[in-house]
Amino acid sequence: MNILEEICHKNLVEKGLEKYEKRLKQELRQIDAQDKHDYFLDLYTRNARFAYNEHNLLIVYLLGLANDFDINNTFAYVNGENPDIDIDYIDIAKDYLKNVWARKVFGEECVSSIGTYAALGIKQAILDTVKVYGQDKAEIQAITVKMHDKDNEGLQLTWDDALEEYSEFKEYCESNPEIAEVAKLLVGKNKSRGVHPGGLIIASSPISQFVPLEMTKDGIIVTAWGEGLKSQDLQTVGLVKFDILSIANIMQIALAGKLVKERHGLKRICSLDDEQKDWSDLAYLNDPKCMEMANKGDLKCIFQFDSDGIRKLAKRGGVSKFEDLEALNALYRPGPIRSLLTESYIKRKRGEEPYEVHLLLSPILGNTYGTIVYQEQIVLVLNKVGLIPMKNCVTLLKAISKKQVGKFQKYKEQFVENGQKTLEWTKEKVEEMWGQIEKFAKYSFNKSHSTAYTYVALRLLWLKAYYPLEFYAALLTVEDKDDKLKEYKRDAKAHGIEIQPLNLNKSGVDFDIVDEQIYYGFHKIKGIGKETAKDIVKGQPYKDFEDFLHRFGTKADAVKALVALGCFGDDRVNLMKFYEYYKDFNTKHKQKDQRFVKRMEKYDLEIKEIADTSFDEHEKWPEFQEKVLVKNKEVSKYDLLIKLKEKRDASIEKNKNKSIFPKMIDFIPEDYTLNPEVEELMSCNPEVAQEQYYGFVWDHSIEKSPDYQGFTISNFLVEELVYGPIEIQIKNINRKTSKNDNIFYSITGEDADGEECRITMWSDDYDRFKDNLKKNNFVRMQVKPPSGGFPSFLFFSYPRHEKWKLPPKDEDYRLMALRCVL
Amino acid sequence: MKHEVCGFEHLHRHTHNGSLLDGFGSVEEYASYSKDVNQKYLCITDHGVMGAVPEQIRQCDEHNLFPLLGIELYVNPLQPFTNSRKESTEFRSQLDDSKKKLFDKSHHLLAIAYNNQGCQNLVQMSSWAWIHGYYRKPRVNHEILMKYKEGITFSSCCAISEIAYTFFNYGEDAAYDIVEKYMAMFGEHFILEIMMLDFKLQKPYDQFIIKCHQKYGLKIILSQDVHYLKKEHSKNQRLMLMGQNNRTIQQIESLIASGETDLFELQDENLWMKSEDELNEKWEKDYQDIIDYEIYKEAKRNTIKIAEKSKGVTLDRSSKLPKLPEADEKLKEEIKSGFVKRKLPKTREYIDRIKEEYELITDKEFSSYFLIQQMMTNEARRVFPQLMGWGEGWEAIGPGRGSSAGSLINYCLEITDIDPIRHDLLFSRFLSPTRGGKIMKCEFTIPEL
Repeated sequence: MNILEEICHKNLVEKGLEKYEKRLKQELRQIDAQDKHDYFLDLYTRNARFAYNEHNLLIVYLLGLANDFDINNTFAYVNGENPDIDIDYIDIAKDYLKNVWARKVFGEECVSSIGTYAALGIKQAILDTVKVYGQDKAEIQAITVKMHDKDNEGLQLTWDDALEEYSEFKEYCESNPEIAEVAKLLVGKNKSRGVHPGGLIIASSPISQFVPLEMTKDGIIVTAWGEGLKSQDLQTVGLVKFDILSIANIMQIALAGKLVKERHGLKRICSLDDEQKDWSDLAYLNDPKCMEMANKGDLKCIFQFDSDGIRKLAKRGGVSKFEDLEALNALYRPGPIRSLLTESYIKRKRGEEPYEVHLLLSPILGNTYGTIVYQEQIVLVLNKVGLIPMKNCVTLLKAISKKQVGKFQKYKEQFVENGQKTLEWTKEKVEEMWGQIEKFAKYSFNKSHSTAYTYVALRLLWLKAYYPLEFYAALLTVEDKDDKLKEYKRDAKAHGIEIQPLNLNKSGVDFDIVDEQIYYGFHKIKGIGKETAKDIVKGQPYKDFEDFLHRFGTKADAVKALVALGCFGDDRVNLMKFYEYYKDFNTKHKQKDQRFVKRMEKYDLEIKEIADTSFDEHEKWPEFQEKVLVKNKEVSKYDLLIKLKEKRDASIEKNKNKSIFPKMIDFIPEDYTLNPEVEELMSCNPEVAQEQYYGFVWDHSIEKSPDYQGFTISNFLVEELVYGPIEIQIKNINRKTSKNDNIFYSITGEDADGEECRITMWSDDYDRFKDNLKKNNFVRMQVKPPSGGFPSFLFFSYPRHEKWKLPPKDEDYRLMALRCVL
Repeated sequence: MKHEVCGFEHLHRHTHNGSLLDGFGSVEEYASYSKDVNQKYLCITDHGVMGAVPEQIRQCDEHNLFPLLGIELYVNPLQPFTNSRKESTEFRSQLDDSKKKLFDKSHHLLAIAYNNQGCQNLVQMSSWAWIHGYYRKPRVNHEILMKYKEGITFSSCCAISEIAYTFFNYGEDAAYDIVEKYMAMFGEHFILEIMMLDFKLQKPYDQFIIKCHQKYGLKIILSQDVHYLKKEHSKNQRLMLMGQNNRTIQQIESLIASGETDLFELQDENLWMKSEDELNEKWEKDYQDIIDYEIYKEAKRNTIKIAEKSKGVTLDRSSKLPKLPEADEKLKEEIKSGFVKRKLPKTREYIDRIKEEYELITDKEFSSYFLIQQMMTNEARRVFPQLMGWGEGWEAIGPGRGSSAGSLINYCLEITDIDPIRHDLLFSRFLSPTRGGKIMKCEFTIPEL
């Protein structure tokens, strides 16, 4: 107990106010948090007196600084930062919570979306300025494309930081001072309004009373004040944001889990026996098979680990436990990479860089080989080494990462002094440690976020490892980016799962598993909506095109897509002609149909008039023996009814037999021409249709070669080879002269992913292989990446002093032609 | 000539924060430069929105300025109550051509709150304009002005005001009628505004405003329609506008060469935050014949009077978080049952962590916040099988994200699925006693006896 506490407690007892104990403790904690002990003690020892208790503090009353206090009122306060609970929901649940539930529970007027202002970043500012000055953007674009506007925390990079971190940018600014000056002033200017993706304000009374509201073009009501990383405007008026976010991966996990359970008769996945939900058995976080895959860099399709760069890093550094993936997630970001933190981590992990971790620091930094990866680690180091109270460490971390020397100087001294005792290190060594903290604070990552998202990643990886079929089906169903679909399809293939193209009778609405294979879903075809897809599936199986048209109908978008993708065979032009004719007939048929329906209605009416009955009730008819006059003849109602029934039955029979549906055979007049656009789509290469309806070419023509082995550019990068094979289709060859007047050839090509690359080849190699180096040829060649940009390669060639190693031409496998199948 | 120092406050000022595609200066720039041009107040009047207010208040706190809260409203007397932009467009399509032309105008009107009621009314008016009065711009009509006029000073504004429009299109008498209408509407809280710009309509408009001042004895102020901080920023503002309108300098130059004069990008070059000396300079150079010296001085002094009248308006900063009944107790119970459900070990480490978190959450009065989050996640789990037609519910939510995974209470409440102790995650990264929530005031402003 400190002195202030003691005095307060003593006076509390003396004044008989023990019942206010809780309030006193609360105030003391506040004083503690703000380091105000000495301030109050000073006022107390100086016998200070205030005219009244300005902030209504019990402590002020107990110390005798003022004579009034009101227990029924809170102390005066300001609102600091609010806690921020971000939660990822599945989209449909997110929309429901935001648009239905919150409004129902808290009232329409007490709930609002949050408006955002998009400000110009450095890249946009300089590009805009170059444009206004009417200059060519190519030069600056080549620079900005490599820049990241935001730092680790998602905050805008400052102009000075950008100059420091990107030397090309600095050079550009120096040679274009006027543009640089104008652009610099543009940075941070608001340029447009938007809606916060997940933020929701929930208040105790109607929001329009204290915040101006706006309405977006789409009719969404949002606050005119923002709340988020950039601005905390709503907090200033006491409003709290609820972040209801969404990532597609939650749905991937749910869907894959559902498929696994359905198809394998499981009740739970990765669950402890007595738990009511999947993933409760955390063994999946360190599952050996998952770790083995991660260790090989086999992380394609996995949330947060999908990119070439991070997979390469995983492969290089190696992965054996959850914490390794967690660290990679934090380290594969621009800041740590540029500052070489990532490199240092990997080297230490591989044993290529010596390091020592002090015994005291081992629990904190051990898992990351002594490197500072997380903010949490810095906080703990400050606390354990510098003996800085925990409550100050987070604030201090912020000050260090923002380089606010004034705010952290006194703590630095404390750290260096205490560190000499706690670590038993020399002053210099402790100072060096502080220097590390100062250097990396800015790049260190929020560990809790990394942990949480590595959980998500590992759930996916586990599914990929044990139930790949279900994993890919769910992955592809949820994904809506075309290039991703193509990548995932390729990865599936590499794992032995061939994705089947759209199939009239096997495909489902989504990517469904049929006969242990995944079929492309109708709903994923451009132009086919979910409802149409469901209608198609409802009618399966279809005998043929005619049957499809009879039963599904003639919805143009769907029919066109299915024909173009070859669902009814290869005779696409004729099918389309048939379809166009069929549509006309169908319309006429519908008119006839309508006439028939009308006739039926007339019969119904007549029978009602005669006996107030219906055709279905004809067993009752014998009752109607009453006679009526028809054309001066007496007839029984019964006879009339029977006669009507006979007429009606005949009519139905006639309608049934008189099929007006055209038959495919002999149907299309020879001179019939299609609408030119449709004709073009139907008659050209199937790849055009695939591009249009799948969003990508199903198989690159190089993949159809019997010699193709799957060496893509991206593989090359992940494998991190000094040299290795790529398989490409040659697009162009240019003869060039180097600075030293040497002749070389620049070959551009495309791999099976459609990725472009450039290969540089010396003239002697070119001469050797020139028979195979023709435009559109398929080749496999051994290349090495130059240290500079990707994807540009050097053709593997022997240096001059090793020329003797060069094999004879027919044994030189550095370049091989792949057979072409048409 | 030597001028008497009258004092002057800028009451008409735009920021990039609120007046998108128009204002270039930022609140921060204005605030930090204010002392240099002898400003004690910081009045912001963005177009049609009060977007910069929180930043304005923060900056005023930091730079020891009094915030004055205002807005430059868009007014159109024909604007009906609508519920969408589409309804406004439909309304317009039913008007005859002459009315259409009138309907298309969005006249400017400056409004500054002089008490808290006025501030709330400004907020309500700007919301009404965006939600119910939007046609190309967020607009209000005269009825809305009447409904929410309490606590607000209205100023006749620039040469794009309703008065100016009437004056230039229908003549002096018609314009007097509008002035009288405004006088009837706002009484003593209606004031007149003159400016010293290069804009060609400004001088004749100022002359008419001065006539009104003489005729009706209305209070008159001088304003500068500030859009950027310094003189040299005029160029930057113009370039910004070009960038946003996708035009190049060359295009603008060729337009000028072809005789185009009315270019939005080429705004007046006088829109910087002038000092009193700079204003005097402009008066001497261009406005001596237009504005009588005595009126000029009075118009400057009046800006201070209006500022003083409008001082002390504050926003209600109290917490608006819905308070659930017995939230602290309820939270405690939920934590207890969650602790058991999660089968957490009853070790010192876990118990202390829960206590630390609970104490801080209740101290900062955030219990309701956690309970509402828990209601949300529970509701998502409950409703998911219904929405999807399959599943058990737990699938609806991810394991966690961001710093909230650092809270053991979140784990107990099943808001997150991560045990922070297992992964060395810190609560203080999520909610810290020094930064978060209610922070008790400890510094005294009253003098000691």
